Amino acid sequence: MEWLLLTLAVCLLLLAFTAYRLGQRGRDLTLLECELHLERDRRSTAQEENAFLTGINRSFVGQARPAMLLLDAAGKLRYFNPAAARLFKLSTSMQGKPIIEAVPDHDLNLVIQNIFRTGEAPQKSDFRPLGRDLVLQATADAIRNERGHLLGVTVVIEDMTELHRLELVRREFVANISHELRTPLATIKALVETLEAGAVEEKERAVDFLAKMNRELDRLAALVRDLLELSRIESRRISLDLHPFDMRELARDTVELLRPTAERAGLTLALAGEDQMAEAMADPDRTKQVLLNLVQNAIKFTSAPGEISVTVKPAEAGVEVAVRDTGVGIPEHELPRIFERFYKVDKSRVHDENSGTGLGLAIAKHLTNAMGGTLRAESVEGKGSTFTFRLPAAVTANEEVAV
Amino acid sequence: MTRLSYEQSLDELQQELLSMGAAVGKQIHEAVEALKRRDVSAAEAVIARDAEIDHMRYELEERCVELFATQNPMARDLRTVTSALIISNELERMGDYAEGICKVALKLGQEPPLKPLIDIPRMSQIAQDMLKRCMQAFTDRDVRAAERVWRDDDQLDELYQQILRELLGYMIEDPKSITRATYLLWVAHNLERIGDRVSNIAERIIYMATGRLEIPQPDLTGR
Repeated sequence: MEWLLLTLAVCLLLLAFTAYRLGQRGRDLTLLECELHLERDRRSTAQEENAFLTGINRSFVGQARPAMLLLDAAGKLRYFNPAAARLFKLSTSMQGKPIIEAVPDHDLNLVIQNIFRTGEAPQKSDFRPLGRDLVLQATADAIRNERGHLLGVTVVIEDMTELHRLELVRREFVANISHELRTPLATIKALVETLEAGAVEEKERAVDFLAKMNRELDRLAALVRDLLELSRIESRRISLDLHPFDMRELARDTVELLRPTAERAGLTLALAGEDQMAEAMADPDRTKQVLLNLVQNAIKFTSAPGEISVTVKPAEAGVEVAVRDTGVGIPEHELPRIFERFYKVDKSRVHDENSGTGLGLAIAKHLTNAMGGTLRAESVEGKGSTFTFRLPAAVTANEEVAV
Repeated sequence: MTRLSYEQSLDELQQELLSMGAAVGKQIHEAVEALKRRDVSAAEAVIARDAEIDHMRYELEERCVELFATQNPMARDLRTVTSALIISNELERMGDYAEGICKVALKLGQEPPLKPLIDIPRMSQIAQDMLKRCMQAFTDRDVRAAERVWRDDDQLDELYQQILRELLGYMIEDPKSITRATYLLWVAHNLERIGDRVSNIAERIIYMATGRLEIPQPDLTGR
């Protein structure tokens, strides 16, 4: 009986212990499960973060305007962004190739070799790749691990061509404007000094000098007026009174107005083409200003005997006005620049008596643009030029109903 | 040197050669620009940089000798290393021609210009283009491209003849122009020689790729 009791007690003890252990393991298991979950969570956050970073990378680097190259420690091309592919005409087959094979440019090669050799981040400004009309700037940087070992090199190449062009235009503008302002001022100063030195006593000379000074002052005033006008149009600070008007009539008025001037210069000026109505939607006063400028230019640059014709015709969703002359024309390489401020094709004409402020075409171009139109020039040197501007057509009553 | 570093060494040899090609192309361009713009300091810079080209050639030669001595390259590799040695020599000579053009630019810098330069920049353009395409053919082991470059040398020869006739005209007309015309002739001659050197490289590329050491046949189909 005692034995039996003892065995029972031992069994119970064992059972209790097993239960306890089982319970403990259960708790352990739950803990483990929790950790697993946590880990899984962590991992998915990490994955998400990774995907996020890759996404950021892809869209930033992919959309970036500078060309970007990534080289490995052996100088082989590992990655390039779309801008680099466009700039250097790279295809995916270039991946893994040494950089000098992919982009055989001496200056770029120097930048890259420099960083591999010295570890310093070099920059090379304003180099022109051979055989291309580009100005580039390259900056290289090294990627290192925490122990300082070189893992790779990044190269960022920016296209500075447009900036260079603008800088040139700006510099020329400043040089030109100081020149244009200083010339009349110097003349006036000289005349005043001569008057002071005694010429004021001689009535005839004094009157002549005063007239000259007046002309120079007019010139200065015209220059300032044109400059202000141009700046107002450029910053869209002019009020335009846009309404439908008959372009044909406006052209006829302008031709009549300038015909005497043309005839005095031994030129014929006429309205050409069929007599059909062409309604434009623009500011008639400003349009007239543009047309006057173009015809005056044509008169200025055509020698007798010559012809100037003005044509008005409806064009696609607009009205086109062309001023054609048989004048000196413009060399092809100068054509893209004639709408720049103070740009003069014939530099020797700068001090010509009837030379303008050099701002006329720039004003005309900006005015047509402000009215939603375009102005372009075609020319054959020695044969003549054609300036054509197009303005939006007025929407007729019929069309309004149709819409 | 293990096998891997042997491959690597061959790779680097090729890259060094391409770098040298790009550097020489730039030298030719800058030399003719300096002449065209009458820019003395630019001409001096090109002359100074010729030492770098010479240095590149020595480094290349050293690498080739090392490869011969330690790796015993065979077949195609052997052809690559011997060709690299010869090509680097040709490139170095082309660098000297660019330097020569700049020396002329320095001399002409003090004289009034004889005429606007048109055909000489054109020759320089063609020579640079040939060199660029030749180095690309080297990278790609492209025999056809190398043959095309080889044939383009005719254009340079023709332009050279044209310049020669033109300059002789100047000299006959005005003996005072003889010095300047002779200098310009020197420039044209240097450019013509550069073209010949590029053709030599093209021949080497054909040899490297095919093992044939022969001069390409003139194209009779008129390209």
